Amino acid sequence: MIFSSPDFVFGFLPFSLVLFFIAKRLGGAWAIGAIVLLSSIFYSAWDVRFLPLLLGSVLFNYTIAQALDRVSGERRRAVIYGAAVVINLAAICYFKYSNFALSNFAVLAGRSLTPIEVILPLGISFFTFQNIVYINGVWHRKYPAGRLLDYASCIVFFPHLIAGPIVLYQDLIHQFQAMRAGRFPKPEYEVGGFIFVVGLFKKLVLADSLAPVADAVFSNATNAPLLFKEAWFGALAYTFQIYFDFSGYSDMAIGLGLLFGVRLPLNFFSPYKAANIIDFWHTWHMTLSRFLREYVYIPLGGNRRGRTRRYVNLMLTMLLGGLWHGAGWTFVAWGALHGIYLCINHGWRALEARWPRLKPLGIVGWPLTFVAVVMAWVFFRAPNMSVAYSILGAMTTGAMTGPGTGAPLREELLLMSAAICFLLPNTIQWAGYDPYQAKQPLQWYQFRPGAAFGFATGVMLLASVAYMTRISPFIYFQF
Amino acid sequence: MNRSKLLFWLFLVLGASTASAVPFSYVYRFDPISYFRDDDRYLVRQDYQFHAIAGQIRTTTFDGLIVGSSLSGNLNPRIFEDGFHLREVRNASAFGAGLSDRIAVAQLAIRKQPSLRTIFFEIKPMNIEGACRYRSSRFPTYLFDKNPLNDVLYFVSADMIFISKVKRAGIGDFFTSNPDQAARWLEAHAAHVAGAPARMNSLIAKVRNEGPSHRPIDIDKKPMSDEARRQLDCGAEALFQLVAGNPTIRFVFFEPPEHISLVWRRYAGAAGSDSPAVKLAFLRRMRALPNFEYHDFGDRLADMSAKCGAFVDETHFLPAVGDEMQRDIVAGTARETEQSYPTRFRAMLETLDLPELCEVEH
Repeated sequence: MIFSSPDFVFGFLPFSLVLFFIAKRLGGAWAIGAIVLLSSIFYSAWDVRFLPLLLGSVLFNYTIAQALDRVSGERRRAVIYGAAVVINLAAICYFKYSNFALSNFAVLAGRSLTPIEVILPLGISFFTFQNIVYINGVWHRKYPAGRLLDYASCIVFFPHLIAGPIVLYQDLIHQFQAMRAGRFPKPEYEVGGFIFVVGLFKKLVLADSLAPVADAVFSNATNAPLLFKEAWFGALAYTFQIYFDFSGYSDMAIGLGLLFGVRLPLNFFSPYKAANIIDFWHTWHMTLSRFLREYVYIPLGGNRRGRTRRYVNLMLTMLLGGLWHGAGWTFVAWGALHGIYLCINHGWRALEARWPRLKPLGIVGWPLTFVAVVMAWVFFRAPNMSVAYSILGAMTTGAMTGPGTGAPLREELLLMSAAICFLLPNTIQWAGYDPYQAKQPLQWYQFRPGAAFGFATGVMLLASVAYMTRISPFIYFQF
Repeated sequence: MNRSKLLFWLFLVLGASTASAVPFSYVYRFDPISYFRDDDRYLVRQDYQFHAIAGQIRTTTFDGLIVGSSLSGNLNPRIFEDGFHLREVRNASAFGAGLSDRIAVAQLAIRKQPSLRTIFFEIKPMNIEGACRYRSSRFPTYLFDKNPLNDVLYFVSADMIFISKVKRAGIGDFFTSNPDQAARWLEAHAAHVAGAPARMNSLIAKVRNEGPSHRPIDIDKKPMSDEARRQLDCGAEALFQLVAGNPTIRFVFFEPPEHISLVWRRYAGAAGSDSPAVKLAFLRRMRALPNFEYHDFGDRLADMSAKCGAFVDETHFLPAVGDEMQRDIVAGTARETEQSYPTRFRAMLETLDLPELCEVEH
């Protein structure tokens, strides 16, 4: 069951809202219990075999957190924390990276090894790191272990469970604690519903319409020489597809959160308008960037140990970011490329600071950033390095005319996608959503409950339903 | 609830209703796949074969059904009607239909056709093996499962709006008045068919260059791989449930022939295969079911697989071969059991050789 399926939109969602509403009447603990129950049902609908893994990981990390609370010696606490991190990482390594490691070992050893039959549990990359963040906070005494049900609701809350945003314990715990105490926030059904429907529209109408263009180019890349135009259109189609797909999912998660009175952190903020790659990473998958910054880059030393070390740390962080997405060399290459981009961007900033006359050159920042991002997506989407090389080859030196592969290019769809990404406000701006609830005056285009937004939401919902017959999973489900 | 919030929800419903009224009335008027009323125009477009099948199964009446992939697209329902004494046989084959797609087609027909007596089910050992992995991207699941919401989806689906538009415009290659055309594909590939002998020559030459990598397989000795075993368990189990769950329906499974170069590669050449072991295990699993029968054309080398000009590519054969296969199914001459299979397989291996190149007519 995925957010964009009729079963979810017309079945599970209304059912869960009614159940939550009833539970709220019974009290805060019931409401939290209902959230954990609903999230377990939601997760089981994908594959019930992995529910024990999810709940087991919650229970295990909660036990560790309690031990960290109880134990007084710092060395013993460090050992407990370290062991827990190793166990968490071992689980994700087994499910996600064992075959990658085996295949590379086989190549190095010159032997053939049979891959292990492993099914990747949905959302494991997300909930494993959220668990680690939680015990890390308890270890650093930022917060106590708290109550099991509160913690479980933070981790398994179904709007973010499968594909993010990557919420930290501290993002949600105070909201669930308030709920437990019977202080329920004012329901935001209208704006929540609006954001959810916009996300649904982005996924079903836009992303899934772009998918066949990207799929055709990436699957034909090795069959016949791609034309210059085909390669660019395929790469651009994927660039827009992944944005609409993942930001659509994040919008739906945020909208669903609001329907339950929970505010989730932002995950996207018009990344393709970014004028440089640093800005891109401040607006693309923002919760992953935050996680990598706070739990990888800064612990590695960040920028505190000189310029060279900073660049090394950036590269290491982005390589890990690439590997987090998937066990494959294409993801490593994608991460490495972004690491290089970031190093160049930081280097350029240092040069600009030294020679202010370079500043006007920043005008080429936006197109340069966009093209760099598009080229990196080729590695991200390609099934292997040779496909990535052939597409990149065609994007740089491909023939302008010839038979090509005959992939459908859908120029009008790409133009419309580009206009939406480059010219329109993003969903968050449109909805006037601020997770930190700072009151800002509404702009003319921003959401307010009433006839106009009601009608527009209804039309977008219907348009999305029209495309629900071609259910395709979200790209980030595989991570 | 204050006034503006009330207006929001009222207008949301109004917006969705207004926006749905247009596609709803459009699809209702044209009913492009005959989903709820029979029509004398049948959708034949290759991209929408599954859609057309879903409609036909709902609104036409038949007592025999051919379920298969493009390999069965040219089978002639009349041969089965005469041979099996059936009133009306429909061909529900579709391009790229995998085993799980075909099972879904058969299940829909069983649900919707109380008079269904016989299902002719195309099968290949490698399909059984890969059953749990493959689902055609074209398969419109919503038209085949039991969810009541699907009827609503039909009326507002973007696909159906598009096909209704085409039906309204009367575009020729989308619709036909002959229901037997719905599964066929040969006419659309006349140029492809014309080049068949030359293509087969180049294939045979290519396989000749590869040469045999090992001697033919002895199914009694070659164990199945763990992966094939797992896939078989899943695919064979699904088929077992289908056949065992419908004891009043006769299930006539048939394995179509394939070009000699493919047979050679599978059993003597570089590709290798678990197919014989998978097939034997499948026949063993199904042996107790009285309504199950298996007709094997995988070992018909001289008169089918190696026959000059009988194939247009490695797997697709000409209608004449299909007719011959259907007549043999009716006669029961290719019927296979777990007892007969090893002997027949060994006999086939003994005669397995690549033929001389076909003569190409200019």
